[in-house]
Formats: sequence, C-alpha cells, structure tokens
Amino acid sequence: MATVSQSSKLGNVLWPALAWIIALVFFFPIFWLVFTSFKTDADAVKPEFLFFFTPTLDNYTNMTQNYDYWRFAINSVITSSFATLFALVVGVPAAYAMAFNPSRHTKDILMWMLSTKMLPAAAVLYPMTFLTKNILGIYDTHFLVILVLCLINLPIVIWMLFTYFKEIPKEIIEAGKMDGVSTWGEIKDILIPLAWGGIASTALLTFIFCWNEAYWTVRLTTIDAATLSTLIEGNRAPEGLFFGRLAAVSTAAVAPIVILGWFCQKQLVAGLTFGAVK
Amino acid sequence: MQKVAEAYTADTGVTLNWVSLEEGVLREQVTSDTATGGGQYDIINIGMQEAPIWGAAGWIEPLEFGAEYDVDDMLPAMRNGLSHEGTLYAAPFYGESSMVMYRKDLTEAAGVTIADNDSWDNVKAAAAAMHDPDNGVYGACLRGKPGWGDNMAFVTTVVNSFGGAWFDADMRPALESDEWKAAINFYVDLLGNYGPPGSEGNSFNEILALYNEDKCGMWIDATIAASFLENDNVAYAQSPNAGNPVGANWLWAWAMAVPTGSPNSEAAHDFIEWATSKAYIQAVGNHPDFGWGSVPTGTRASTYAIPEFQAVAKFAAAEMAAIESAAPAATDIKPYVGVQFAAIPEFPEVGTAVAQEIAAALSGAKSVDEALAASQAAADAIMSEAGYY
Amino acid sequence: MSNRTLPRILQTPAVILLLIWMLVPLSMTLYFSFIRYVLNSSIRPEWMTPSLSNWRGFGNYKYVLDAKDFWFAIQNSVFIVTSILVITVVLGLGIAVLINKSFPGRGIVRVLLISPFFVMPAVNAVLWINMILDPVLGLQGIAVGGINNIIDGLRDFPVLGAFFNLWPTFEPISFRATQTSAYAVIMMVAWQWTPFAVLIFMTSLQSEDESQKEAATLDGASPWSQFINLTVPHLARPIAIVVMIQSIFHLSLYAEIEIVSRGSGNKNLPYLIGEFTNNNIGAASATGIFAVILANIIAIFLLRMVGKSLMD
Repeated sequence: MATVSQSSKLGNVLWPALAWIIALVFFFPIFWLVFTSFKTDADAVKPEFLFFFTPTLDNYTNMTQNYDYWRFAINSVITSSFATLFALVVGVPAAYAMAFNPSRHTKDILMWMLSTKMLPAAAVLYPMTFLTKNILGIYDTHFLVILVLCLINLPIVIWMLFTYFKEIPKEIIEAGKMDGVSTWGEIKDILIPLAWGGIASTALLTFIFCWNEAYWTVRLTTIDAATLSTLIEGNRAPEGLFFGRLAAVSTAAVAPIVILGWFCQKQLVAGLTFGAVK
Repeated sequence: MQKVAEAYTADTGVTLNWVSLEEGVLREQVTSDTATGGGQYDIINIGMQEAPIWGAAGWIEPLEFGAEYDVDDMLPAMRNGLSHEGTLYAAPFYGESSMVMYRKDLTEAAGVTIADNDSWDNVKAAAAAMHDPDNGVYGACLRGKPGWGDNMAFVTTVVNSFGGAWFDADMRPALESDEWKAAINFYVDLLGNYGPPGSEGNSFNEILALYNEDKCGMWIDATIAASFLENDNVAYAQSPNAGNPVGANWLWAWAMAVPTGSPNSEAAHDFIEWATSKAYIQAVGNHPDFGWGSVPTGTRASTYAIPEFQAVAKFAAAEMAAIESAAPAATDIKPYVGVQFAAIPEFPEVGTAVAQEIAAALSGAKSVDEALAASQAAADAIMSEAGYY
Repeated sequence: MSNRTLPRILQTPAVILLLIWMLVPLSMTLYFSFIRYVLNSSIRPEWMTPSLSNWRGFGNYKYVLDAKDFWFAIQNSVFIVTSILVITVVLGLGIAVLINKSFPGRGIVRVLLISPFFVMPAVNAVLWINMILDPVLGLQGIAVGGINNIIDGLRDFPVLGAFFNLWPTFEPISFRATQTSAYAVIMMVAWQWTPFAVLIFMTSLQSEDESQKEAATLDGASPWSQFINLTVPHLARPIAIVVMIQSIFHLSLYAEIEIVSRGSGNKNLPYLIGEFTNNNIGAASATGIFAVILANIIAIFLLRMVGKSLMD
C-alpha cells in the first residue's frame, strides 16, 4: 500500500506539472507574437533584445493610423456574425428534420453535404469571380461574403446540430405533437431550449471558422467588404521583414476571436461533442 | 504614396481607396479581375512582365499624357519595357536594375575588392573571404525563395551573363544547355557555401532584414534596395559579368495601368499622370514625412539631375548606369524581350516550375543536373501545351 | 401536412443552397476541363474565350496527369493530412487524459491549451515560419547561435573543454527547404488543431464510466492497461469524428503551403490548382475534377468509418 500512495503522491505533483509545461509550450507562440508586437521592427530581430527591451505601442498606433484596422475589423464582425446567424437559421430546421424524421437518404444527404466542403476552392476561383462580378454584380459586397461564409460552414453546422438533436429523446418531441403544437412551436419551444448548449457551441465554432476564413474573403473582396484576412495579406510581406509591425497586425487580427474563445471556453468544452458522447 | 496622395485628394476632390496585398495574391487578384473584364480596380499596379502582354491583349488602356508630362523624360528602358508596339500601356511608378551592394569595411578587412562588372570568380573569392558564419556574417546573401520574380529574377541574370537564355529561336526551352548548367552550378556553389542558412526561403524582404542586421557581406539585388540600407559602409558595384556581352543585371518597373472597362477611367488616367509626374517627385522630396531619400527612382532622367536628390542618394549614379546597361531587347542569343523574364503570357508558369527546381537544387534535395532535367521537361510541356510548337 | 413532406420542406433550403453552391461552379469547372481555355495567349488568342469550338476532350486531363508535380501533389495531400491526423490524435489523447483530473490551475491550463485553435491560419504560418523557425532572425536562429556561443565559451575550460570540444557546432534547420517544408506545414497545423482534438476528447472523457475504472483498479489493472482497454475504446467514436472533421479541413490547406515555401516540397492538390489558375484554366479545372474525385474517395472512406454509428 505504501508504494501505491507514494507513487500517487508523486503523480499528484508530476502530472499537473507536465500538464502545465505542455500548456505553456502550446501557448508560447501566441505569447511570442504578442510580445514581439511591442518591440520596434529593429529590436525584434536582435538577440540582445530577445527578452529585455523598451516596449512600444508604435506598431499599434501605426496600424490604426495607416492601415484602417477598424474598417477591416468591423467587416469581420459583420460578416462573421450574419453568416453564423444565417447558417443557424437554415441549419436548425434542416437538422431538426433529419434528426426526428430521418428517411433512408438522410445519412447520404449528410455525407454529401460534408463532401461539398472538400471541394478545392482554387478550382472554382475563376468561375466564382466571373459569376459574382460579371453576372450577379455582387463582388466585394457584405452580402456575398456573408453568403459564402454561410455556405462553406453550413455542412458543419447541420452536422453538429444533427448530432445534438439526436441526443434528445424523440418522445419529448412526439409529446409536443400529441398536444397539437405546430412544427414551428416544436422547434421554438421544445427543441431550441433543450438543445441550447449545442446550438450555442455550434454558433461559436462557426463564428471562429468564419473569422479565420481567408481564401474566399481575400479573393472575393477589394475594399468595401474586405475582412481582417485581407489586412494580414497586405502586411505579411512588405518591403523588408518588419516583425514588430507584422506581430502587431497579427495580434490585432486574432485577439478578438481568441478573447471570445477564452470567455466561451466552458461553453465550447461542454458542447463540442459532435455526437461523440453517448 | 498614400500619404503623399492626400494632397491630390485635397486638390482634386478625387477620393482614393487603396488595396495592398502580398505580391503573389496581388497578381492573382489583379489577373482574375482584369481577365474577366475588369471593374473592381480603377488603377492596377503591374510589372514590366505583364504590361506589354496585357496591352497586347487589350486588357489595359493605352496611356497618353499632355505635353507637361514630358514623356520623353521617362527613361527609354522603362518606356520601351512598358510599351507594346510603341504604345505605352503602363506608367512606371518606380524602376530598377540590379547591382552588387557590399560592405566596404568587410572587403577591406578581408583584403579583397569588388570591381564594376567584376568576374564571377572574383565575386566568389570575395564572398569566401568575407564569410564568417561563426560571427554571424555570411559572404553572399542572394535570392533563393522559389518564384519567377524571386529566385529566378536573380538566377536568370546569372544565366544571361553565362551566355544562356530561357528559350531558343523556336521558343523551345533551353534549360539543359551548358550555359544553364554552368550558371546554376555556380549559383548553388556560391550561395550554398557562402550564403546564410535557409537561403531557399530568402527573397528581397528577408535579405534586406539580414543585411540591415549586418549579416551579409554582399548582396546582389534590386538597385532600390540601396535606399533602404542602413549601414554606413555600403559600396556599390555594377553586376558581375562572365565575359559575355550581357551582364548580370536585370530591368524591372512597377507601373500603374488602367484596366479596360474601368468605370472611372478618366479619373484613373489623371491620377496616374499626376503620380508618375515630375511634380510628384517634387511632392515626395518636399514632404515633411519623406524627403529626397524616399523619392521613387528609376523612372525619369530629370530625377537624377535634382541636386537635393543627388546629395542624399549615393547610389544614384550606380543605379542609372545599371539601368542603362540592361539589355531587354531580343538578340541572337535570346529571341524574346525581357532580361530576367520573357515577355510572353506563359512565362510565369514556366518560371514558377523552374524556380521550385532551382530551390530544390539549392537546398540539396536534388542535384543541379536533376533539377535542370526536371525544369526542361516541365517547361517543354508548358510551351508545347501553349501551342508554340 | 403529412409526416413525410414537412421534414422535406424543412431541409429543402439547406439542400438547395448547397446544391447551387456545389453544382454551379462544379459544372463550370467540368465544362472548362474539356475545352482549351487560357487567360492569355499571344500564340492562340482564340483560346482566351471559353467556347465549345475549343473542345479538347480529355486533353486537359492527359496534360495534368503528365504534369511535373501532379502525383507528387496527390501524395503530399495524403501525407500531410495523415501526419497531422496521427499527431493531433496521439497528442490530443495524451493531453486530454492528462487534464481530465482536477489539479491546481486546470482552468488556466485549459485556456492556454485551446488558444491556438482560434488563430487565423495565415497568422499561424507567418508567426511560425518567420518569428519562430527562421534559421537566422527567428527564435530558432537566435537559440542555435546562443547555444553555439555557450559551447564555444565552454571549450576554453581546462577539463570540461575537452568534452565540449567533441561537440559539433549546431546548424539551424531551414524549414523552407524542399526537404523540410512539408514538415513545417504539418507542425504548424498540428499545433493549431491539437487543441480541437483535446476539446473533443476531454468532453468524451468526462462521460467515461468511472465505476468501471474503479473496478479495474481493484482488479489490479495498471493505469496503462486501463487506458488501452477502457479509455481508448470509449474514445473510438470521438477519434473517428476528429479524423473526419480534420480531413475535411486539411485536404484544402492553402495559406500555410503558400507562406512556408510556395509549394516547393509541400505542394498539395489545391496549391497545384492555384498554380495552373495563373493562366491555364483548362488544366486547373481538370486538376479540380481530380481533386473532387480524391475528396469523394476519402468521403466514402470516412462514411464507412463514422457513418454507421451516425444513425444509431
């Protein structure tokens, strides 16, 4: 018995210590990015200023003055929010139908939806540019960005929601039906409250994916609807290698979403199951 | 430029929206917009490779300016490079050639010299003498990052100076010629032995940072680099030569053009006229935030005659000489227009494919012969696919 | 309304939207893949307008199959995705088990661990390849230089010096080289997606049957055999899900490839398509069709893996 308690005592210190070390290693690059953003461009590449330097906010003031950070940031917020909202509006009824009234094609439809996400964006870049610009005339509009972000995330949204809805006992929904509740009532009064955790974490994950999308947002916009991804594209290779400036722009682009993630991490941890928990 | 142009907006009431993108993404964006009939951009920033081809394809509008613009003041090399059949399609915002920039203190300490149009052997000997990796100094910093406008810009000039060319008279690729083999072997040897680690990832931006950290003995790159260099001991030399009529210096310009179909074509034209005028050079030189050290060079002969410019730009004479000696015209050796590129629509595709092979040879993933054989095969496939033969 | 039509109506908007999103570009791609179509050509200007008179049959497909990097790109696509999957699942399992028990500061550890998942891919790539991995100016270069300096200093010591004289001078690794660029991509993407695996495994672990474990402990089963015999089977489904979601995302990696080495050594199918797109739309479209086929093969594979339990 003595050995067991000893080893577990050791384990009580060792395992948490290891967890802490791994967590710090994983976080280090982000720390380094933020840290570098307070260095001048010249100091950022000098070994003698690796850890000790005079911090400066110049990179940030420069960014907001010269690169119109807020315009990009506001576009990111608008497009990501609305895309998430629309994806849920379209996705909740679809997932509801698939979960509670599955047909023999439901599985195939779900898989087909997911497979649309694997289509290589580069292959359809040119048709998409032509279509949106010359035929539909919606190139570089918020509408287009929202639509595209919504569509590329819709399969994941439906799939996630489907897996949550499946956890809900069918009888609860059936009971509603017996009481003569309309379908809309079922969704609004029974399903959504019951699956609220799942819906919230789906929304969160979708928002993250929308915010971080770069291929389409950069290539289907110029000015009006350009998001933070475009700001990064414009700054990642200027004349010279300005680590300080690059770090500041990068920090400013990822900070909102990382902070949002921190605040909602409990929600994410609780809800991100993809139906994996039985 | 954005800041200087604030005055333009104040004067004319024309508001300007700027889109800045990484070079590769910029090309992709501008190409897909222009090729689908334009409309997104009123003014595009393109290079000397694209300008004549896009002009020929009718993608961009011909540019004609008033007498005050003094188009004859534009350096002939730039004007020709941006024209197709005598019509100007893009106005140069800045132009450049390439030259050797080296640290005089290091060459003196090592007891070597680098002369104008020196031989490659001497250049290599100087790089070897300055090379001191233990103290973080590398003999030669050269481009190695794969890209037709990156490593291939420099590599092509080396090949040119060895007497080679991309294509023969029938436009068949000639990448396995003795000249290419000699040039690439030399390049891999020089940069592999006396270059900084990770050279296969370095292009202009990366090397500029290295050079300003005092890590490079010499750097052969765009003349414009000289205006960004901070070390006081920088000296310049005209690009090396291997005994051929053509030296190892390139010719390039970033230029502004108006896509056909731009709804604001007149305003765009007027802005270009202003932004590439003599007055613009004065505006930058006299601007409190910029000054004469930041004026765009390589475009107008008159810039080089301005005393204030001469006073701050120590590299001006060397740059002018390099631009004037660049030879873009087609010759017996190379049947196409362009120094470090060929002014044909397929070149970016060929250049990209070869660039990756040369980068593989540089990092030792392939031998030079293997890389060139693969390059030749790829280039041959692209050219025959494009209908050249 | 009958029981059957209503569900159909409810899922119709989603199905129609996705159908349009898939079919319109796909049919254009299919059309372009059978004709000669280039953005610009001075030799054959007639190829610059898409038209049936430039019909080419399977010519583009043949050209792409023979192209220099086609098979290399397919191989790379699969290699990069598989490596990332293996790393993230193994690391994710280990970390999830590690932080499953409560300990001081677990909340903070969790926050730190999941943070990389929120970072934009382009920022991730720029951060890693420049600020961390650059062999001269990045942390790697600075660290290697520092270590070499320390060793150099130690060489002068009387007895120890002999020992340190045996040490080599360390060379920094260039992660933009043809030989290493795929590993750089794998490393940075695995860094970003391991937190995702951790998140999913963590949730599943919390639902694990503790009484089973206690019984196993009483039977004298070692922690390792408990992990293998109880925890891993319990996590089979979450593992399948992690594999599936990640395959979907990583098959279309693009920004990381571009930023690390522009496809030199790490080119995958989307990047090859991107290269063709610069001029040869016909070839890009044919490659796109191949990519669709590859995606469907993998989708069928994934369907077998998770599809069955999906409907249970």
